[in-house]
Amino acid sequence: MRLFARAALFGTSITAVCAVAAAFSPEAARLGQAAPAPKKMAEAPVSGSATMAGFARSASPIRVMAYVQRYRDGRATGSAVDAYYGVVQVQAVIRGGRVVAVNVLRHPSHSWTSRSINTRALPRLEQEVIRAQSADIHAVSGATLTSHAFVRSMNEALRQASS
Amino acid sequence: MTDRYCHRAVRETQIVMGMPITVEIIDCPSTRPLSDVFAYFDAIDRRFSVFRPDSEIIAFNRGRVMRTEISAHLQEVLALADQTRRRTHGYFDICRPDGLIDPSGIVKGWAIRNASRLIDAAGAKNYLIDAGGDIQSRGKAPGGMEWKIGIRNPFNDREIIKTVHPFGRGVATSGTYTRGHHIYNPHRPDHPITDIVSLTVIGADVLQADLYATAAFAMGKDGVYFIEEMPQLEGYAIDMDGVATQTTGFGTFVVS
Repeated sequence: MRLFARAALFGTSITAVCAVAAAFSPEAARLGQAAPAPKKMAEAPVSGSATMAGFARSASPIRVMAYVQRYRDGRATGSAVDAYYGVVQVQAVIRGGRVVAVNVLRHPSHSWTSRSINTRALPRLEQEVIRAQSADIHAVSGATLTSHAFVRSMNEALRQASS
Repeated sequence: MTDRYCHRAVRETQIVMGMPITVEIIDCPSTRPLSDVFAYFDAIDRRFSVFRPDSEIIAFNRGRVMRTEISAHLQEVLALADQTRRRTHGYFDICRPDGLIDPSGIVKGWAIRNASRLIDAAGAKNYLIDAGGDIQSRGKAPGGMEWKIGIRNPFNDREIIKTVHPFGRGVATSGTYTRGHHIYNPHRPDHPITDIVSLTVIGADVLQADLYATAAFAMGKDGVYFIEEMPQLEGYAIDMDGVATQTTGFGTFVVS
């Protein structure tokens, strides 16, 4: 918060109903009609590693099934998992019995519009390189729920592909 | 009052609303507030879960309940969502592309804020609620210390990269998963998000922190500048290269 920051915009009347909002937002309307094309995330590692890359160093107790197993070729869609920020759903693409891609079908961000904020000259803010530290703490703030939901959806997709 | 009525320390973790919720009360008059709080979270989940076929939100989305018939809870959440959408330039929106509403992005912070009011009403002055990494603290930690909250390393969730004293404010972090160096915006899948992977917001309470962390994260690298402009909010954004940018007042909360 900058000192003397401009006042926030206030307003309380309930005017937005989704249908209305979608109708007046070209972006939202466009997104609403056609499901966004799944994005190929990356080549999944085909190895005995039991975790998705990115979670490999995670202490998370939720783990993706090992990739050493051979799966049926095709696409397997995991269940939609509640990340409580929204819904996560992934699809595994299997070729030659192996997972070759993971498509993210749904991911929460609550940003259905892409209007950019009207930025003026940006203030210069302090920056630093993050560094792990050891500290006695009472709780941790972080965004891991989405990751857990992602892994659960992925497990479900692989379960389908192996049955 | 506090000394006379509240002297027991209680702590409990339950999985509710799809996430671990820990409530720690240092000066609890009885165990009653704990059970009340978890019962409250459970009731909120039953009302707002998009995964429970009998929830009010499902009934509303399917048109079984009219706008004029919804509960006061849902009315409040919808009003809050609408207000937040306008204050965040449309970046916080509970409307899904299919025209249905998914208020889960608002319900979490709102429920924690309401739970903290339940504990306040029970007479406790020193407590902490941690619901899946969104945190509301009040008063002091055991031993009369300030509550200390770690910010998780977005690249390694076993590590802490910052420690803050919230001083009674709310703390929430929004982020995305990483896979090597590839991070994607699901709404613009051809445009990898090359800027931020984690944004922590300290707000007047956990509800404000949660709402603005969600909205500002969706703004990408502009998000922390948006937080800078907002009164009562401080932010700490981490980009994919591991460089953090903090708002001008964030330093007052930093322990190390």
